[in-house]
Amino acid sequence: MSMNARDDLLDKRVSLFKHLDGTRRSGTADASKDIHPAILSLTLQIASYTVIGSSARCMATLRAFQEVIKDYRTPAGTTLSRNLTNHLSKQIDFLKTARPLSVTMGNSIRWLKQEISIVSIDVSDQHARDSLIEKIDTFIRDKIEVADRVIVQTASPQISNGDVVLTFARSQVIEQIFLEAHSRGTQFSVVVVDSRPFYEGKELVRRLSNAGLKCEYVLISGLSYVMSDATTVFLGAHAVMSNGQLYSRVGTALVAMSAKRKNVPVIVCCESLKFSKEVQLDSVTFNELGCPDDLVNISSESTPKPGPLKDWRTKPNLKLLNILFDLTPPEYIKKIVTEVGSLPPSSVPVILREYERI
Amino acid sequence: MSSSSAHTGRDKEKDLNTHIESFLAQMKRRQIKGPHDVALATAQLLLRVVSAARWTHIDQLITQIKVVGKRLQSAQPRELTCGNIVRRVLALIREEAEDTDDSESGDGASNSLLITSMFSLLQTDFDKESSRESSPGEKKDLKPYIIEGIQELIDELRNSSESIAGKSVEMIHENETILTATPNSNTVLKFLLRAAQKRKFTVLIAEVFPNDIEMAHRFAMKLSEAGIEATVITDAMVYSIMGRVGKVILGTCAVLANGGLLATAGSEMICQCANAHRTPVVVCTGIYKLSPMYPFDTESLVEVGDTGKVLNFEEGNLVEKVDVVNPLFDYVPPELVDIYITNLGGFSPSFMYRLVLDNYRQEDVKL
Repeated sequence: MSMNARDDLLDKRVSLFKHLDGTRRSGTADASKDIHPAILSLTLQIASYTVIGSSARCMATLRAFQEVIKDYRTPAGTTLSRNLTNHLSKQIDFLKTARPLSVTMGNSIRWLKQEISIVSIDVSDQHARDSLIEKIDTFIRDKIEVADRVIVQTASPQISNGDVVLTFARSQVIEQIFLEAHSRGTQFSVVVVDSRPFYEGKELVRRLSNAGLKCEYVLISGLSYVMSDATTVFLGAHAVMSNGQLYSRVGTALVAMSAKRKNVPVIVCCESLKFSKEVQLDSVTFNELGCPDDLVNISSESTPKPGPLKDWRTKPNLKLLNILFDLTPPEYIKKIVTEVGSLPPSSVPVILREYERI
Repeated sequence: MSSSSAHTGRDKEKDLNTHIESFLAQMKRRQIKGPHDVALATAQLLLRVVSAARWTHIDQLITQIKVVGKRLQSAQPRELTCGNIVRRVLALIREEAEDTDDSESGDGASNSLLITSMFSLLQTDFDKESSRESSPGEKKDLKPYIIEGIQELIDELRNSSESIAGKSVEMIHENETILTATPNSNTVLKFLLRAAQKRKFTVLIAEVFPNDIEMAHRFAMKLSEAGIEATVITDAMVYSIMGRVGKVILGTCAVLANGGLLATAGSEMICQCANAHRTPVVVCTGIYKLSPMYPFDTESLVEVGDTGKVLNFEEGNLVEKVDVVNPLFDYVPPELVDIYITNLGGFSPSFMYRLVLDNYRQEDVKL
């Protein structure tokens, strides 16, 4: 009984988020022999945030699936279209132990499974494998690479001379937009707002300043100080929900809200692959937990310096909460730039329906 | 005999000057910092100034305090409490002087005051001062009364956070979730600890990285040791969790006459966020932090700090190319605050200008 009470006191899960699983894989020792080595290594890379960002994770996953398909041999007594899906599901289940699948990963897996299911049983294994690998190549090219290029072409002319554009954390497509606008000779400066514990914006600011862009770097606590100078806010996305809510790196909602209050337009740039059929109302029901120990560090140096909370796990009543995403309401967003055009958040379900048929 | 008394007088003056100098140096080096400590040190210093001062007319003392006050304030112009205390002392001296004026001149004077009150609207301050100067010299020694007054002010400073804490039970209900983002505030800490004696609740603490993070962690430790469930969150998480928060409780560095306030960086976005979710914002402050200033230029009120805390100097290449900003404070406009809990009770932001009129004299606003 007293043991139970003690356990309760030392339960480090925050009650609001107890429905989310915060466990992360740290090794591959328990992996079954069915798991492909490419998946093993990708799982570790995702778990350690070496591969981070919705598009990057999606691309890496599809590339790993190409390896899986290349080495796949249909066992006797079954067909590729039936068995490969099963085999892939095992890989996907293993991948999920690193981090929950991103919306882009979910969407592309759904597409891939559909493609596998329609492989005719008459074609040879070799031929089916080759055609699937080629289809994945086309998918990556169309849905991510070309889509990004189209978004960059649409969004970069929207930066004009003398603008101060503000962005939060790091999005690859946003980075390309800024670089493109800069190479077109537009004179503008960039404010990068960043946050703990990932400091993704640091990498963005490094790349932009190396390209010769004028950059300002500030942490999210200084947001109000820099927002008054901004003329436009550009944000990337992890996903856009079908009710128009933007699901992105935690802190995005604060930036969008602050911009809206100061009448600074907020433009979200993302591929339509990031559109999700799901609806969501708040950041609590569905989210992803990060490792709370990441918050113990109190220094901005590369070597972590544990502060007063280094023994927090042994202290009753004390918790650390690290969630990775938040939900930005559609009223803060002026428009979403995608490869199929620029649209208001309310049009997300329209796009989903239109392109479902194709 | 007379020469030796003049000598000790000069000694006293020299002594006082070293005290003032050391105060100025400590302010400049940030050895005294934080509104409470600054207020206390200022009051104690003014107590010495008054004790050492000699005057034949009360206006001489007022000028003297004004001169000293101006020097004190200019040592650290953004520590508004220093100026507040100077003005409180000036108001106190003026009140004592007027009280004795009234009692000396008796009922007749107050009658004539009534008759001429309309006329006096047209008189300038200059006329008033000169008329007082022409009045017969003082008979009563005001010094002990003024010193007593300053001592009462010091007591008020010492007890203010206690009396604010007394109101905590009225603000927090059972099982509530509170969010706070000003871990440097002792007032808020005492407020929450006092409430914990009667209520069980959860506190979310925004870490205020990079400037106050160590304090935020200590703040969380102290709360958890007192049996309050304390959860530390990053600053970026405030929006995602605000929907579940019952009240936002903040401390402050200074409250301005329009009902706005200055607090740790990040406070404005947190208050905006609370406003977007219709979550009440409660600000705990001693009345000594109330400044008679209006925030005409909010940017000049915000101080910027060490950029090395934002982008470490190890990243020399990057630091060279990028402008790094580390603001220390935020100005929060009055419309984002729901209520001020002070040592005199709870007030809405729109009422703060009245408290300014109660505590300070108009003629002292500009030192």
